[in-house]
Amino acid sequence: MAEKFLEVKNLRIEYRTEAETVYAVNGMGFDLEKGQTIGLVGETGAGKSTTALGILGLVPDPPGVVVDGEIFFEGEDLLKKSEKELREIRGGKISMIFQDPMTALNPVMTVGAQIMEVVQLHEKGLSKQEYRKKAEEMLELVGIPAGRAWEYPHQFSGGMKQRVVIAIALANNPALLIADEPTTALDVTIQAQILELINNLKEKLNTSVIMITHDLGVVAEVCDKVSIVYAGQVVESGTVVDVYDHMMHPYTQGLFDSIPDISTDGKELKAIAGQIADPANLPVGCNFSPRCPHATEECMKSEPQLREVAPGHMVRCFNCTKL
Amino acid sequence: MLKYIIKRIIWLIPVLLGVTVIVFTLLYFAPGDPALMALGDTATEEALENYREELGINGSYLERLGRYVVGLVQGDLGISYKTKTPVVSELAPRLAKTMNISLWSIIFSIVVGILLGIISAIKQYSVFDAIATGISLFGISMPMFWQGLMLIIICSVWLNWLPPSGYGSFKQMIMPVLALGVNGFATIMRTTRSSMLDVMNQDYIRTAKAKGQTYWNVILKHGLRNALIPIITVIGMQISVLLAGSTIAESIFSIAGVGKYMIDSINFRDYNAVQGAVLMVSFIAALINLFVDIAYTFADPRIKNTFVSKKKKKS
Repeated sequence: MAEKFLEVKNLRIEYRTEAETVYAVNGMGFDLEKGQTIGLVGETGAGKSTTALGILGLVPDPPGVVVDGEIFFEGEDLLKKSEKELREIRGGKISMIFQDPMTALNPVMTVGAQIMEVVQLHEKGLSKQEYRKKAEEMLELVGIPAGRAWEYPHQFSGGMKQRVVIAIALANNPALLIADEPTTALDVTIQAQILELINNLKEKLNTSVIMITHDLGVVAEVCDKVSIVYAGQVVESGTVVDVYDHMMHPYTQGLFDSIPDISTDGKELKAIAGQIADPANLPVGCNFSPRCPHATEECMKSEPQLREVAPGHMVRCFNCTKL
Repeated sequence: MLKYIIKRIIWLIPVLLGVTVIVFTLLYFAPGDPALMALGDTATEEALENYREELGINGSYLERLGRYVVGLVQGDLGISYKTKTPVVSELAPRLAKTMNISLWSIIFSIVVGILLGIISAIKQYSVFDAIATGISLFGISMPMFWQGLMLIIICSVWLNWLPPSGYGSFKQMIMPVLALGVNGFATIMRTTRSSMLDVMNQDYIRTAKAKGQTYWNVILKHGLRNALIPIITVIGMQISVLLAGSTIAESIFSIAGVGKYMIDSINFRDYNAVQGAVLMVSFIAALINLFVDIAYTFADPRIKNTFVSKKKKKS
């Protein structure tokens, strides 16, 4: 069997404080081929961002602890690597676009210097001039004139800042790009531009992408595969077609039902009943059972495992085939 | 940027003029007659009047103020009533001593304060943090004169390590520099700690880590650069506090600096000397504030930018 490009297996991350332990990621697992894009979709607090930080080894410690799991990247377990080895991977082979461009850039450094920094860290031996040139090229690539490279973040708009963040992330042609809600903080028109930009760059550089979002529309636009995440677990995964057209898990169905429909003008939004599971106090059995309209006694007692309902289409539910 | 600095330097003139007028007025109305003090109550009215004329303290308030300001512009601070020598020549060697001690105190408080502040912040709640915060709490709470006296008791009287007074040798410098610097060190350390704690939780620190930046570079290049802005404010304020404190420290450690000169002159009603010393200290304080404001613009580009955009609007 050919080894996967990225394979996250049974990842468990907890935030431990004196008051409580928050089970943020509970046996997360997914894999990704070279050049593919996977969407991690779920509500706020489902553990998507923590998973991303886990891959980069940047879970804030304390209070975060990676309890269990394996993250194979190009055949090597990232969780077993030393801090020094991880530093070489971060920003080089794996890089990340952060959620909020307003705060992700250092306010006292020019954007050019911030792009230069990541190039200097991973591509040694160039002259200062060459580094500067490279930073300016990266800005042009994301559609910002090179002449603005030596200005400060506060002189840019939100959408432009996000472009700078993307330029930093792509500066070393990463093999894997983690985009953590790259469009959440932006206007819809800018969102489309940014998505197109990521898509173009992905094709140009053959980068694999993990797209973290709660926007199902974004996923449909850019992703090959989707994993629906609930309470730190994948509840359903498969190709975009599998999940969008043949959804099986009641949570996925709830998510799609809650998308407002333009044709049913004036109707109340359909929401999933109840609150998202409290990660500090997860229910016994299936995490979704307290909110699930189809929950049976079995769901309340034991935890369902991922089952393959069609080739490549996995669902974490006891009853999905009966529904 | 240069325009801004020049503008700020020009602004020093009205500020110093204001200080001159205020100090002059306060001393003019202060009780006590220098002539009477010098010649005693048995002196004749004629002798007193001659003495006043000799010192230039005859005439009305405005006359004297005018004379003083004209002299000041020419670099003349008048003559000391006590020694009959020009105040400028008396101040110069004393100023050197005061500046020397103050400078070392500032260096001590900045270097040690920022260093301990950073370590405390990155090792929050550790034993080191607890000890460092404890020391700084002590440094802030205890008045300087008490610290100075305790230093003399412990280091000179009990342990006999350091000479209790004087100026010149390295050993004689240690205690005054410590006594003067402890308060500044404590304030700077606490500000650094809280500022670093705040900055290290910012998103851009995570971005820096995600770039693969090394631990110390994340702390110094990204963390400290951003944490510096409030620290510079505190350093600026501490320097003024320190100049005021030098009067006390110099008295305690018997150092013939500007501070001690000022106290001695006040006791002798040597108003010209007092005024010269006060002006000198205010001039230095104003200059330092100017440096601090310029330093801001280097630490925080958002401030610098406001000048650039103003310039653009004008042209």
